[in-house]
Amino acid sequence: MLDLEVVPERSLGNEQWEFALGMPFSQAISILQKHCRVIKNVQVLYSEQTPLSHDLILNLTQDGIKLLFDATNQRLKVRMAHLAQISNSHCIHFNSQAITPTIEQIDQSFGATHPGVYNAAEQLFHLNFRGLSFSFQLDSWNEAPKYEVRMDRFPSIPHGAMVKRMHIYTGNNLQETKAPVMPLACFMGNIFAEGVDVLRDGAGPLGLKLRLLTAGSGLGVMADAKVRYVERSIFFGDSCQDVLGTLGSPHKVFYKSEDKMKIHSPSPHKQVPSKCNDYFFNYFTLGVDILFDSTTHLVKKFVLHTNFPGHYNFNIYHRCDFKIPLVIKKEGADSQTEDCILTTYSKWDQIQELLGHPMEKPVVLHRSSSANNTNPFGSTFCFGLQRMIFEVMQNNHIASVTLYGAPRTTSQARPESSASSH
Amino acid sequence: MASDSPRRPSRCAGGVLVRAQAATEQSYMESVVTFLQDVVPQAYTGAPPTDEKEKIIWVRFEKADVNDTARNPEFLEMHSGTSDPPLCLMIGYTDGMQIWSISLAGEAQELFSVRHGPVRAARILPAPHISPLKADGFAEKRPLLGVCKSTGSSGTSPPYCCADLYSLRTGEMVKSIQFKTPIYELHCNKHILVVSLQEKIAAFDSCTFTKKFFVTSCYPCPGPCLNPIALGSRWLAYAENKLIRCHQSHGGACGDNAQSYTATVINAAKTLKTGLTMVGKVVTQLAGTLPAVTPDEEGTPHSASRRSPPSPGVITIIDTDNVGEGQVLVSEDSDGEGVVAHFPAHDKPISCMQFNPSGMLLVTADTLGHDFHVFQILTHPWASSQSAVHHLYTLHRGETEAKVQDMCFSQDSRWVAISTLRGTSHVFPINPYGGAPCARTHMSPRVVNRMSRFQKSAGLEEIEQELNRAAAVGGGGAGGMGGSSCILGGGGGMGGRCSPIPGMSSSPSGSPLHAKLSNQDSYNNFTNNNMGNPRLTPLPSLTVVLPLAQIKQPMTLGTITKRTGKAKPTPQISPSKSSGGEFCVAAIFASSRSWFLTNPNMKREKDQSRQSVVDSLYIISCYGNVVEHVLEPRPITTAQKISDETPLELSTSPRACWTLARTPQWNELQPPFSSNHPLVLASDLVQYYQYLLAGIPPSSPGPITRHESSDSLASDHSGQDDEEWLSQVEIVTHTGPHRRLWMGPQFQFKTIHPSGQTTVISSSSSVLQSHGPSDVQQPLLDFDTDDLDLRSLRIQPVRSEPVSMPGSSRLLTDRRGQTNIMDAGSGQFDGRGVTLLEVCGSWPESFGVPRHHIGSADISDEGLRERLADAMSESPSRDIVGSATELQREGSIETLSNSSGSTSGSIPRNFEGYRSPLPTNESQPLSLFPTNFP
Repeated sequence: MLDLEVVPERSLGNEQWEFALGMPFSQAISILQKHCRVIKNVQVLYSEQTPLSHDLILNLTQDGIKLLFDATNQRLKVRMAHLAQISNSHCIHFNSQAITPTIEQIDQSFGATHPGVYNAAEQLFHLNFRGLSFSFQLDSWNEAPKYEVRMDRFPSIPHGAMVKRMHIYTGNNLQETKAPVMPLACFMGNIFAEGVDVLRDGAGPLGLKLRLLTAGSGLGVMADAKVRYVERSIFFGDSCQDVLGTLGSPHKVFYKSEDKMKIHSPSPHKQVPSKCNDYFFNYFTLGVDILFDSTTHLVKKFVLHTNFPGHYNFNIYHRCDFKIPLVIKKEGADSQTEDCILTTYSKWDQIQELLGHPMEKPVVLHRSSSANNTNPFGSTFCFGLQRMIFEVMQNNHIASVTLYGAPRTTSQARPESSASSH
Repeated sequence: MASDSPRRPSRCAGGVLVRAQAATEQSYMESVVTFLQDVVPQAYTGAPPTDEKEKIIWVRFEKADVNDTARNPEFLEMHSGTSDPPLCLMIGYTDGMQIWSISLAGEAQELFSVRHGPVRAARILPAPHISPLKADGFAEKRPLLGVCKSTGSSGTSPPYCCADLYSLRTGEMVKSIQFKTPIYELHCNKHILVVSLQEKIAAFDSCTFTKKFFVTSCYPCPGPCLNPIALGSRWLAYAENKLIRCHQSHGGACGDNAQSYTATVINAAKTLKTGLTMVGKVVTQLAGTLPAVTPDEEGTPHSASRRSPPSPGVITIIDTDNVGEGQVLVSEDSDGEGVVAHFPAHDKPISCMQFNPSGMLLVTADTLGHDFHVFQILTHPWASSQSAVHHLYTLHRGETEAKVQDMCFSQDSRWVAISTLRGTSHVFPINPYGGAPCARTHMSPRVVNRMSRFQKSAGLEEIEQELNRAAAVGGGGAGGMGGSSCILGGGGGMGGRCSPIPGMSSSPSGSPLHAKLSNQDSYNNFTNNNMGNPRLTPLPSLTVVLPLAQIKQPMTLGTITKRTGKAKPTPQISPSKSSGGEFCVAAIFASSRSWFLTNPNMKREKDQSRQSVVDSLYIISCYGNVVEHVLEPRPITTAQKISDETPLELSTSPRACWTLARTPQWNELQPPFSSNHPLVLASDLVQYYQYLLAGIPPSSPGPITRHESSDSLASDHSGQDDEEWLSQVEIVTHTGPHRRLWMGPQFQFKTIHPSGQTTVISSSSSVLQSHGPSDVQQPLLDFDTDDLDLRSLRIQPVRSEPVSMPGSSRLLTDRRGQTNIMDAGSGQFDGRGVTLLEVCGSWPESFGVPRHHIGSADISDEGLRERLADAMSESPSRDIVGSATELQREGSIETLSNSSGSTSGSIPRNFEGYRSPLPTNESQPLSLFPTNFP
């Protein structure tokens, strides 16, 4: 039995949890997981082939609630509830238990608004408030045509009409709504990245410039209710303490086990097992992994995750909204360079057009977690170009980008670290 | 290696190189815990054993350019570990000092030796980090040796008040930094030179040696380090003389154990917010006697701390890059810029501290020396008050007082060796992430992750978290809990965590108010902290660790211990006896150099010591002997059954010994040094590497002796790049949850298909489901999805209905392969089961098959193709219109045309999509492998 309070343009929830607009996908998942005994049968709906064309939807089938997440930034955009279905099992704050919300109750609770809009195709009346809209189903009355031709041109909704569904969103228009910025309550002391720029020179990537934002500490009293933006940069060859000071401590540290890819190393020493193992700093909320060398404790690699649904690691990382500037040298006119930017949403065939087709065959990554279950998403393919490795999913989207530094003995230009200045 | 300086008189030419001697093993493993060993120095080659040695005042292992694995190209290329850097060590005598290096081949080479009066502190300054904006003003003079001598350069200054920088290349003094008070110690990294003085710290830029910042609020320590600091690659930790609440980090020290807690709680600093964490399951069998909860007499308002007397045991960590110029002062008025963490670490004054190699851990000792604390520093990018400091370990040395003089971590941070002024080195096992050290964590040569595969797959992490949570909640009210850990004295514990909250005073634990608080706190953690913010997770349980080995210096018991194998008694000099039985020692972990003793002809790679799970421990004593102790951890022998969780024991045995103390007969070895001197050579290489990093041409950083290698360094690796990326692919980057989201059962993944075909396959069902529109009718969906059909996730591989294949068995086998392909590899995994991951470096042959096959099917049997198409698609036209409008609304016209185009074709689009393991696009189906496709 869910007892939820509606705050237009903001949230839906109770005193224990709330789905706030702008909330990241993983946070909503985590709320649902914590209440797995109450909320069951949740569907995750996404488009496999074109994941950006459709919102990512969490469908709480038993509760008639649907959470729509923006396909690009994966933050909560629209929340809708089927009140016809939940009226028996749900209480919204304005109706007591087991009473279906009607037009009168809505009037009472939310006050007056513009007249309703009738949608003939859906046979629904929409009553819009700012950040909140109700839909009334009229086909039970079979009166819809009548309302359309009324003289006052502003059909009123018949008394006793039952709310079929309710939308909560930001702004005035449901169709144009966007996910708002992340609410303060969702930070909880975590650091998020608004964007990650890959710094690079002609030969390859050098480091990352992250636009970080954070707010509050999650301890309630402490929360200085202000979002802070800051730009920080990290580079290959930075020390552990450099990274810790720049990005804060990672969520997890993962020690690599035996490096299976070492078999491909061109170095003749590849068969000598290294004594120590490299380790990853997992920054889940940034969508970034940083690999450190075991002996020198310096940054060796960055892995940027796109968190597309349909990938094995979906919902582990937040989406890293990266931009990789490319300098394309046109072969005909040698002086002409073209600036292109690769983003999280670029597709592999576009990348190939820009970077050229990799000469080598790809590496196939099957991910299978144990004997009992297989990876249902199929394998992914890794292509290496210009010291970047693109993991490409079946739908041509990039699953992750691994950036590795130049072999440590080559020359590389490294701009002065701007990490310290902010 | 035997590159002697020409200045070296011939008489001592042989003395420069010292080979190791096998150490006596008479006292091998008498006891695991208290193990006395007696290493008898034997004659070294070349120089006759002399009775008279010069008196040693300090010893130290040094990290300099010559053993900088990160920047010295000599070690970069041999990264796999065939070439370990030499040990570099310094010995301070009453009349001078010496620098030695011990190569991997076991040869100790004297690099520097002077007799110009006592030296209190000396460092070889590493080549600085440079950039186009910041040039090294002393590039041509490096390597530089910073020394603090009794007689300053000016001669008029009081003793030990001057830090002089000497060029080892030219022999001249290039810089002298004067102070009013005596210098205690020098520290340096590639950014700064830090001079620690009486209750003060001064930092200087390593390129220009101009003043960068200074700290004047240090808490003094009686010794042996009078102003203990720890310098990491970027952070500087020092003992602060007061605790400033508004900058205090979460966490900090927990009480150690029953005894020390009760002993110190009486005069517990008001500011030390200790919560007592008792650990039941750790190696130490602490009796279950929980101390009575002592009401914290803390009633002082938060503002009183300003006037309170200096409080011992507080540590501040600052970011040396970020603190700015001038004085660094942590106060309530300052904004705390550059302060990384600020926390109480001990009740007593801090006497020693050290960062681990990665810089995430800090080990601290107080003046009592009973217990050492290991802290994990969890930083927040810009506020120390939001950082957290987790007290992972209390390393319990004993109940007697001892002064710590040296601490060191092994390279992988799994072992800590702490040496006291009594000359004993205590070896502790730890994990960089906390938790009890056990067979699983310390018997493998590599660091294992916190969760074993078993624990992960069993979901034990979540269970453990629940337990911790429950304990945290219960601990406030009830106290004694049987759980894995519980927080007692909850008022303090919570206060420590939440103390930045103004006005929050701790209350006696057990009060309802407090129970409520802790409930709220854990509730906050429970509900809000759902992204695993590492800084806000419940404090990890504290583990108390006892030393697994205590390696004492021979001379402490030298006259008592029986000696065998050597007639001549060890020279009974007593260099440090005058100072009350204090013995200077230093220790370091490094790979074994004693391999040649057992088998001089053996190749190093074949040596068994390569398989050792822990590096050898080298200890240099006040007698000038470096002894290599081989450490062999093993599961405790008394264990009934050896499992992952079995506690450890450690056997140590001295393996090799170098006698490095110089005698009055030895000549000095003074700069200037030629360019093939190891220190000069290393400095050249590292400086050159820094120039390359900075992208500026070397402005003659001294003679580069290895031009060919330098050229190869700078050469273009683009040719190599193509092959190299394969080995750079990262497969697993994190410890995944034991159940992925898509594994259900709470969540069910369904895909929306623009082409309007549907599949529902339940994630839990093992039955292959046909994909059809006949699945459970969805409740009416939103405006976005109302008209779309959904597919569930193919947890089980999608297979087409069996289609009878005309033709031979060969075709059948072909088709078998094809099925595998259609499963995108997962079908194969069904069969193999245990394979966790498979990576095919080259394009597997079988991937070529389906296209062939489909092609041949196309040609040979039109009907087959139709049937395959039928099998893969059902009612392709059903919702075309709906989805098309949908797509248009979403503005993805390209996709629309794609899907409609494919559905109009004879083979539906998603047939292609599923069959092809490649990310294909209709427009360029073979674009990925233009050259390789047959």
